[in-house]
Amino acid sequence: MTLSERSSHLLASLSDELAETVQRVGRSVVAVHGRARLPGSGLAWRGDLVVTASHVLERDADLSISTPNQQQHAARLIGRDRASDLAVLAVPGAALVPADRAREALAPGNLVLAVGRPGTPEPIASFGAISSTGGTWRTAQGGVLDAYLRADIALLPGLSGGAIVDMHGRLAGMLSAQLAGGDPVAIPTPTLEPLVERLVAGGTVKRAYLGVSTQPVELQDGMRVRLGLQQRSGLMLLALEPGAPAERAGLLLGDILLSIGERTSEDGEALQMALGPRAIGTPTRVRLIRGGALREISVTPVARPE
Amino acid sequence: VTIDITSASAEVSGALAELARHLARSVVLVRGSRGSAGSGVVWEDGGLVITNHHVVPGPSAELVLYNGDRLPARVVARAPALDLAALEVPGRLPPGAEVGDSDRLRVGDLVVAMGNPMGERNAPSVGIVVAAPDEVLRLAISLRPGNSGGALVNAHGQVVGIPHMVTGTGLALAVSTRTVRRFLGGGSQAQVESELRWI
Repeated sequence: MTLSERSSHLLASLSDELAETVQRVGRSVVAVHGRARLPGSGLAWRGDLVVTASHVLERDADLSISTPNQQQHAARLIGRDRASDLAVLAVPGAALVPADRAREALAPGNLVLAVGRPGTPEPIASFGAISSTGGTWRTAQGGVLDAYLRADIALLPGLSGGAIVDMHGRLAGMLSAQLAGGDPVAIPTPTLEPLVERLVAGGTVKRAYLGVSTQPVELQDGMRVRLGLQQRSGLMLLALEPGAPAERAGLLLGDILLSIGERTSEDGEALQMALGPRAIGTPTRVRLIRGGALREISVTPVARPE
Repeated sequence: VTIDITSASAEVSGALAELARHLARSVVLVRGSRGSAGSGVVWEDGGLVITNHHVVPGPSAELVLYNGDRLPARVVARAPALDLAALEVPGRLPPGAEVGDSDRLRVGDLVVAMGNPMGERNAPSVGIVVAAPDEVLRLAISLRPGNSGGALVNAHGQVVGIPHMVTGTGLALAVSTRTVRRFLGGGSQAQVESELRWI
């Protein structure tokens, strides 16, 4: 009972390509030793730099990595951001080989491989399709990331910090088992790049800060009609920190924030989403209601004080 | 370009469907004498059906073939430690599945499992090999109760394992055909039931 030659050849070619891609990508995926149980995975980002998931590092010191050719190197934590489940390790002299990075965005239905190395000589892998992609979202740890990839793949123990790659073996993102509370989600490469640069430069990912305390309020129907507003609620300012960006820009107690930049601020969650790292130092247009009339004010958020 | 991409995935899809049709003839539904149920695979030359030990806890079982025929079967050998059992039937079995070399599997290789998950007949599922092959194969594939004892095949449609366990993390385990061959060769802790009956 054999398959037709054509089908057998086709499936065998696919199988070969998958196995070869795992081997090729595996050369750019390291094991990260930073917790008592199973090691996590990490991405060779530069010759001497590894990007991994913050949660696989249960300590800040006594860290090491194992390279694909079984060499162990001491690693130094140079920055981590628990809210984005991201950490960067310096591994001097490791001569790592980073994977090519995917330039085109993946879409639902695209096939992907997840490749990790939880301390095993061979890489481990799982396979599936992208199930959804999306823009700015709130991580389970309370961080704000500007994109995500969700894939229909088995989230094997030790895959966190590993690679999601496309069918060309190009890095599409870093996997985390914790960012979305146990769902297989990856931070896409274009989102990863500036975050890693910030961690390398400053050691932490700063969040933007306005210095306000707010409460959502429902807008009266009459007011909405008169002002031509679609949104049903806004954020009323209840407190302004002296000297902080909001006060300096001239915002007043009782102002109702309608939008920040391009994002409507219907609740506190939306405000948090608008205050990602990219907003720091960027003059941002704030639309608000004051005294029953629409106003626009430009505010420049600063980095959140520690 | 769009046409090429569509036809490539359509061809893979068609090839998987063909593989599933072929494989279905060598996979049986196994009903154990104590209410258990699972799958079994008709082994190469067609003389035996291989399944998991835990699918057939008692001395006999009923097999339901792909064409609906029912056959009584008896357990002729089992190895609880390997979770393997061999069944014999009085009548003729359908053609056996071709058996491949599990040691040649690589991480990332495509595999297809076929069994009777949750009572569904001959349901295929597709996945890949997670780690280098050993006595037990580690797989990223969606398996459910009823897949136990069925066939796990490589891209050529050759049996490389017998699915027997799933974990909560999306990892499935299969007994490798290397282990099955050792079991059938008698070089394991297999107990031969026919001998046991003489005691």
